[in-house]
Amino acid sequence: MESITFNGEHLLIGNLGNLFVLLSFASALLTAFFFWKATNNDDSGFWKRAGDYSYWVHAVSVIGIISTLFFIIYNHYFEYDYAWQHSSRALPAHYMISCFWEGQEGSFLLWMFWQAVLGGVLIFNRSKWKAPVLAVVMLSQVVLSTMLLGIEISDAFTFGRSPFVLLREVRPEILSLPVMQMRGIPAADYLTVITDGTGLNPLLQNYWMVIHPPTLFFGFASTIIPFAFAVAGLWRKEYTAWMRPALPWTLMGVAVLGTGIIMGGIWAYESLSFGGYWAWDPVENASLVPWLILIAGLHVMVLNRASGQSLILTYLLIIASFVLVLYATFLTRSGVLGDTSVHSFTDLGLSRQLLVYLFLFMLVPVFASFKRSRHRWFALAIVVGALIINVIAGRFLFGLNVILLLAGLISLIRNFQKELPLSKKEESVYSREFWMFIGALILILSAVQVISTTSIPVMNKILMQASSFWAWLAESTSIELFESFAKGTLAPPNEPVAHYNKWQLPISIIIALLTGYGQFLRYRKTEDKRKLFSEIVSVAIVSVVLTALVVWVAGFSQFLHWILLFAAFYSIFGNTLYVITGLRGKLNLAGGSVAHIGFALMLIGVLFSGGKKEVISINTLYNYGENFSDEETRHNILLYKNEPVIMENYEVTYRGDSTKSPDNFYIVDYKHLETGETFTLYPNAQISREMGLTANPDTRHYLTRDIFTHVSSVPNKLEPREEWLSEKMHEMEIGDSIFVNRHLIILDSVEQVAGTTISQDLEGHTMQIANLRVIGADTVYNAKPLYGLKDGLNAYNVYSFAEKASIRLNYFPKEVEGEVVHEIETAIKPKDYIIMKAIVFPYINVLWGGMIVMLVGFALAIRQRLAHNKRS
Amino acid sequence: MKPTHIAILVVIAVAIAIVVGTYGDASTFKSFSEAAKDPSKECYVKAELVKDKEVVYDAMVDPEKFTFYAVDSQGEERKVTCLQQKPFDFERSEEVVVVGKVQGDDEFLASSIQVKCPSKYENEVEDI
Repeated sequence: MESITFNGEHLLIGNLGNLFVLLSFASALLTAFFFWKATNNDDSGFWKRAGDYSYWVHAVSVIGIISTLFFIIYNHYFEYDYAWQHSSRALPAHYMISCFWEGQEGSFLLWMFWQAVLGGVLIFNRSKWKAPVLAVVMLSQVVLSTMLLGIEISDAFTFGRSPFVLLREVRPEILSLPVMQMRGIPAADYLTVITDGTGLNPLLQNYWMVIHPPTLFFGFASTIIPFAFAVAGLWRKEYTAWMRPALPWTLMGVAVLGTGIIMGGIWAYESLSFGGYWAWDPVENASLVPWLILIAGLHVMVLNRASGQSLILTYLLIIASFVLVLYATFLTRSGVLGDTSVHSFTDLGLSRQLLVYLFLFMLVPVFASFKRSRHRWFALAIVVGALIINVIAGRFLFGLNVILLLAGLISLIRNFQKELPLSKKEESVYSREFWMFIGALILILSAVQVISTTSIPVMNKILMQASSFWAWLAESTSIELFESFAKGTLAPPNEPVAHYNKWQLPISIIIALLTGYGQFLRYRKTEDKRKLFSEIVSVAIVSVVLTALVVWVAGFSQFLHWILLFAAFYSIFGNTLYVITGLRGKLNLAGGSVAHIGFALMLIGVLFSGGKKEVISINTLYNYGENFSDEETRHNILLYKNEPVIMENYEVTYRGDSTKSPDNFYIVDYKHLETGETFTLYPNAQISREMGLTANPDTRHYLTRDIFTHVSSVPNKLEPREEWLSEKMHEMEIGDSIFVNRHLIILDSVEQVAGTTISQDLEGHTMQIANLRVIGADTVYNAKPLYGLKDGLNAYNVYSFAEKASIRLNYFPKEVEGEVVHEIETAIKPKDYIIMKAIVFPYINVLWGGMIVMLVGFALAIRQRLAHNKRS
Repeated sequence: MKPTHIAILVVIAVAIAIVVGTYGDASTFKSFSEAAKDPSKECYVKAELVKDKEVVYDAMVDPEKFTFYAVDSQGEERKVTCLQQKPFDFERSEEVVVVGKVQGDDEFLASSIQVKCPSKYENEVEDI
């Protein structure tokens, strides 16, 4: 096989790509090394300069990888597996960029790109933080670039996976496809058969999917910077000074990651059919958790700068935010979520590598925290030793690694305490820092809740490590749960939304209240308690009044919803009052307050659009029997073409579909029964063999509500269909009736005429005619199927159609024991139909508005911090 | 004790409650026969679609109900009634994960379903 020369391949470009991959790895390693040296000792500035140069080599090679891959996709070089898997000739050029995030290799590349961009900003930094921060950033870049290396270590294990692998290397079977054998095409000419790629997932062919993944990855990438500053602080033994330069970066991370998550929500709402903007899907959760932790980290950073408290918590949170990004990557890229999420990625064999990096980066701050370098080397030796033991064992030794990690955490805190004894300062519950601290803890609780439920599939694997212990415990306590621990059969909650809301609703109430109240307090101690109370009470009174009004008008029934509404109003008024009185209306200082107001608005938006969301396509026609009386299962409505159906306040009519490949638009007319207002929605579905039906909703937007509509099912036009279905024989007597396709069919009479009365050609035939009435809801048809006899044999049949009723009728009289039995054959023509779901989301614009306000708040805060850093 | 310490203790207690609550709410993957033992509780069953038995779905009769036969990891076959619109091209799917409970003698009543189609990607799920 080695000796075959394959025709038509463009191997040069792939070799160039692989060269860039190697170069990016080597240069990242060198840059990290140079900046590491520069951190320890760099009087001459030599190492820093060397680092600068090798950084630019790295940046160029990352751009090189991206350009090469894009070139391959753009030119449809399907001999490359990546192009074959993720693109096709029909793919419009503006979606080609989306190919980068359909495959894992491409998304690691995207991440690398953003980290390289961030490195490019830091390279111009002139402060003492430049070298250690870049050393850490480049270490992460080393790790990411190994994901693309694709070096085969053994048959079972390849180190990384190159995006420039050839199709025939991954799938040798394409060299001997049946079609080639049939046509006698030699393996060397396999490319004459591979004329097109398998195409991009239709879900990604959407404009939100062009901007959401890059933004999210930018957010992921930006968490490395606060992490790197925190490590640099430990490294240089300057435990608090790093926070001032790190704060704008942290804010930026919060803003960008937040924007990415929000865009994901908008994308889900605009183009997915799960009916909402948030589904607590593991992939969504995996990006939410680092964000929550980063926000908590941001708050303790601010409070530490102001009061010197909560230093350890600051470190732990900033470190955790980056580690959780790695964990999120592991969750979504390792295939561990396989049975619990619809949209997690499949494993490319990188999960072991990801797991090692996850543990490695948890240990990076520990290394940095040692004071003496020989301690550092000693710790490194232990970690490398443990790694070797894992490799020799050929699997991930869970117990050993966790012990290692715990030892790491303990030594981190110990190293820390030696340097900085815990503060013995007096604290007051009338201080702002105390309540910010509480707020951070509550955010941690929120993250803990999300992560522990999302991690159930991971827990299965972990708990299985002690399978016999759980089995013993299950036996001795007869608690069923322990049995599922032993067998690793734990599954996510049956009602995930209710499960998450149970915890997250009270948590968001507390957070909203804290944001509304905390700002009235001063750092250290609030002296003027009378003023404080008057502010708190006046805000509370206004909020109570408004809450009561809204509850009464909108009709919220749940008590917790009232409290949430109150808390959100409290936050809005509290922060507004603080901007007016506390900051004297200076909006450029009010970033935090504006973000808080945005968050509170979002809560109100979620409460209305989620709590008051109403499925209007309730199916009332079908009775499922007493077992299924639950309305929950009847959320879809069947619409026949051109047959209006009443749905809540609307008369809806399906008018047919129009196809503009790859989209099928279904035309649905809405008419309001009272106002007479009419509009048309075009829900869309892409139908493909790979993905099945991918529904894209269409939504009618009003200021105060949205009418969200998507198709759930349509006739399968990929399968050839019979024109007439459900053929059935009915034995009838004169006067009998049958019920077919929602029509009553009555046999009124039969008659016999000579064939010539129908046509001259039917000389000598005897025709028997059945006179049938087909009665619909408001129509009556007369049908006269014929049965012709010649010389006593059936020689002629004429169907009769009741066209609009879509019924075909045929008549077969026969003689049984001297009596005439009338047999009527019915068949029905399947009508074009759609099954559709329609949901009204009230006040969803409050949610979008709140998101925008929150992002504006972040932007204001970044500007303020940058200006502040420049001044001082 | 400082107020901060009290707060930390309270938060740790709540965190433990959350984690315990997670496992209290967690469902389980079962086989059909295990599911039949406890018909009151919804559970997850991972099964394979039996391809040579008919998938019955008639949107004109009921757009949110379809039935099929599936065989679980223990090799047990059961009729499954799913109260949803039939996923598009369902007949081609191989593995299904159904959430529901056993109803009556032999029928599994699923309230939701996840379908794994033979993907264009090759799944190489390895054990960690």
